[in-house]
Amino acid sequence: MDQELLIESAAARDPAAEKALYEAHVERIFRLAYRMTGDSALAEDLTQDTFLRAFDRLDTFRRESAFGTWLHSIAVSVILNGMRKVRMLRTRETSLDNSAVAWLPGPRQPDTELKLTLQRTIDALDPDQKMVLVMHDMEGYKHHEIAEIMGIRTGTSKARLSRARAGLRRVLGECRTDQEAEA
Amino acid sequence: MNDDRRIEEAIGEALLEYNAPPATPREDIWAAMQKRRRVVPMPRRRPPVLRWPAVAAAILLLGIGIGRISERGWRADPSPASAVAGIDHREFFQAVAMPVLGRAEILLTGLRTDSEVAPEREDLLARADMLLGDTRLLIDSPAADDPEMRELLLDLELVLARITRYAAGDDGEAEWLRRDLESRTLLPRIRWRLPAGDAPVTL
Repeated sequence: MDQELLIESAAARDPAAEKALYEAHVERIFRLAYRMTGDSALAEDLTQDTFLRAFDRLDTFRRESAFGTWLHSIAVSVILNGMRKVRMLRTRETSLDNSAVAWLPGPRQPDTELKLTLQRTIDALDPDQKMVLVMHDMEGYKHHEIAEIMGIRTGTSKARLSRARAGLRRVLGECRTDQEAEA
Repeated sequence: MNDDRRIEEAIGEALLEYNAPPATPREDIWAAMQKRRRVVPMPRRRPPVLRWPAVAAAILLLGIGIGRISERGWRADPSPASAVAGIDHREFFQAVAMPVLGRAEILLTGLRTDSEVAPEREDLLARADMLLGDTRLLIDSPAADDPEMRELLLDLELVLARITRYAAGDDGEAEWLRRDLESRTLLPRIRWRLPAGDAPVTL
């Protein structure tokens, strides 16, 4: 079915049209939510929220952008908002995780240490920077797509990515220096 | 130069592995969405022209309520018209939020008691569902212009949605709900917003 027709039918609450739109986009939305949160249940919740909100607001979709872009802009808002809401809980869990890791006996491989450090650095990035890093470097979105989805300029998207990568490079450089000093 | 390349490679590897998504549980997500829609039908967003009269009617009703309950601090004239005219409209919408927060406080306090007897799900669903609708109306109103109030209403919306899903029989929500009730600062924030010394306001 033609995308325009699908959207019109879904706006009129046609379940088959809603399912078809869902099937066409759920993969990318779920992947984005999972990359951002690292939590399967939360990513599922956020994916649900995104589609429910989109279907609820289909009559406000002005067709000034592609449907996928509009849907992604809802997803970004839902994901960032959801992450803000669970941050307090997550911080508590992370600190518990870290303390558990700290007392576990046995040496760890340097590579594992590096990867963990990098993962923690990505976790700790500013959410907007992390969103750009995830979208561009992990999920393959172009800067102009990210800009349209997030409602920012292309230059801002590039700048956020550059800052995020610089942070990773700096942390990785420090890690290597520490390892060389220990060796 | 080699170091730079090694660092870039290490970053590239880390990015590939970072939160690598599992297969998308398409059918599970779709089924959960359908269940949520049956339990808490998402209200169609109506055009403002239809929504605002409803809000205005609520304001007028509240004007009467405020006239009656607000001897401290509010204007003495109990007529709804003067209540609407004499108060800054954002301040007025903040006041509209008080009865909703009062009911939320009662509901959440009840759920946090040490009683081992689970609340009656049907009653819980009715109360939480009605509160959820009121909360969503407030989120779309000038009451949510204040960022702190908006954040409070959004957090309340999330918890109420969980309560309705749990009350409707979704036991999978129980653990999340317990965490929400135990870990969030929602209840103290609601109490902080409510006028000191007043019993929870209901209309």
